[in-house]
Amino acid sequence: MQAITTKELTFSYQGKTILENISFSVKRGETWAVIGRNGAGKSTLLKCLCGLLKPSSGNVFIDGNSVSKLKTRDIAKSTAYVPQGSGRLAPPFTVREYVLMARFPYRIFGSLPDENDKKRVDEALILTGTGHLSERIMGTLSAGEFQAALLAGAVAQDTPFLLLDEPTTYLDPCHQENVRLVIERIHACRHTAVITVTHDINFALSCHNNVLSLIDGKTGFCGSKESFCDHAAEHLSKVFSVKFGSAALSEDKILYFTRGVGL
Amino acid sequence: MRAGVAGLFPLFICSVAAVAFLPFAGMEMISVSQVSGDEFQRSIFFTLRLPRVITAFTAGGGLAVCGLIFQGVFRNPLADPFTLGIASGASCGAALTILTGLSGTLSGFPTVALGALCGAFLSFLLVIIFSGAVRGGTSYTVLLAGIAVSFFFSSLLMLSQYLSSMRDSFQIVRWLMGGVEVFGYGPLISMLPFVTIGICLAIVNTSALDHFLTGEDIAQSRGVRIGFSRNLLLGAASIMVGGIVSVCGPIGFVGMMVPHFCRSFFGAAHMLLLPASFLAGGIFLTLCDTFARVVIAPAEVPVGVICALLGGPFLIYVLRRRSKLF
Repeated sequence: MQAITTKELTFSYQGKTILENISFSVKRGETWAVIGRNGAGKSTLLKCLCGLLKPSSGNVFIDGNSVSKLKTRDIAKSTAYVPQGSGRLAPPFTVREYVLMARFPYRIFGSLPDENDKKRVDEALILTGTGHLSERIMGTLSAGEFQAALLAGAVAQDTPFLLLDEPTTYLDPCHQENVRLVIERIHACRHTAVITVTHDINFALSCHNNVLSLIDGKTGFCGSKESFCDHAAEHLSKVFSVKFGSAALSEDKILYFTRGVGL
Repeated sequence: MRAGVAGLFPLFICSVAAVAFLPFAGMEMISVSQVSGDEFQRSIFFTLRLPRVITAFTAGGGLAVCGLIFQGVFRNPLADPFTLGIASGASCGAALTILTGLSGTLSGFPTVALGALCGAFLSFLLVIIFSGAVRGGTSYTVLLAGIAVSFFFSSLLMLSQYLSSMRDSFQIVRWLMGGVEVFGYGPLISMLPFVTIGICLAIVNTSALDHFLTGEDIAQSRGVRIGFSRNLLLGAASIMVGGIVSVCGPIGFVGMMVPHFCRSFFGAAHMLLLPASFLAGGIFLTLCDTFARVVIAPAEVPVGVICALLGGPFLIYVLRRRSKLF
């Protein structure tokens, strides 16, 4: 069974503990939403999962192999990562060039992209709805288009695990919906496991089957969406120190909001 | 509109034309019949002009590729082949050789060039040691280390100039202006291995170089070993710069200008940009050098002066006309 597992993962930076004793496991085919306040360690967790940061103690395993012992290239064949929007670079490539670059881990040094690479790129462009952008320069895209192009890159990397850091922040409702569709499609078509860090509770619960909440670097809640929703308002208030309310839209669709906004 | 692979073709034709025809130009034009008939003209053609044109082409192309690498790795449009202080290290080495009265030849190889080569590698070594000493260093650490080393050697160079005699001082200044005045093929042969190794290393790493422009997090998550690739690419560029500077001195502007010029036609993907920069750099320096030896003949203008005087306005013209892509 393909899985990313953390075992007593702890990460400290300059004497401050960012993550403490996180143990959880994401199996292929699962979708996870990671929620928590700013600075709770969500992004740090994602970076540890794909080997960008080395844990201070504990371990991260991809398919049973410790990440610290895996080659960068091999990690890149199992996890794709889309970083957070703020302060992100707009590389001077066209969208197609950018997406093609994501095939790096599969290419031998100095080789030209082959037919399979090009096929994967086309698939990724279709799956993320970015085909019409393929000849545009990344720097000229709107935030929503840019995010879609980044997703296309991650999809073209063709990995069993996909890590997204706040993919819907700064996006209009239409592009937010597009991100949700991409997650659902890639999960359905390729059985990809998706781990999404987000502040949008309704987005988190609309397309993810499991929830991990972080409170000051420690695990708050870790389990299925259903068990989270049983006491959702309670869990959410504990995470964000703000009172939450909910409204049932239909039998299985519930809208969450903070009381300040509430009815 | 971007030029694709087909865009390399005109560049290639121009390169061949430049190397084939420019040796005939000079203070006195040499005709084809003179090359085949006249003994004296033939020796001028084959031992002075032809090696000089080829040296200029190789040096120009190499410097342009170095500039491309530095601009990519540091994601900085102002980076040039001399950003890491390799030129000041080389200059310092050359100056010290002149100052200590060791200038001459050592089994056919000019000792000034040897001194420059030592200086170049010493400065690169210092940059790598300094930046390696910083834990969790990024490209910026390397850049800062490079600038520190550059200033260190510049000061040392100034000191040695200050302490030297009028005659030595002039020789140092002349060396610093750069030039491709070569006699025979010796200098070209001594420079060629450095440029060849550097270009080969750069070519197999073009896709890693592309990734530096996307930011280090994305690059690493896509399987690029950031630290390793960075050192490899910078090492490749430094080998080239060391080899070229030891023969031609620090010829400025080519390395910074040509990649920008090519980027506006070929886009940012290095697989195309690298050969394009090499060819364009070669053509540019060859043209500048021909101009330098013709314009006030029989005297010569230092080629570095011509590069900046002609290249500056031209670059601004190109960037104004075409969208800037960095």
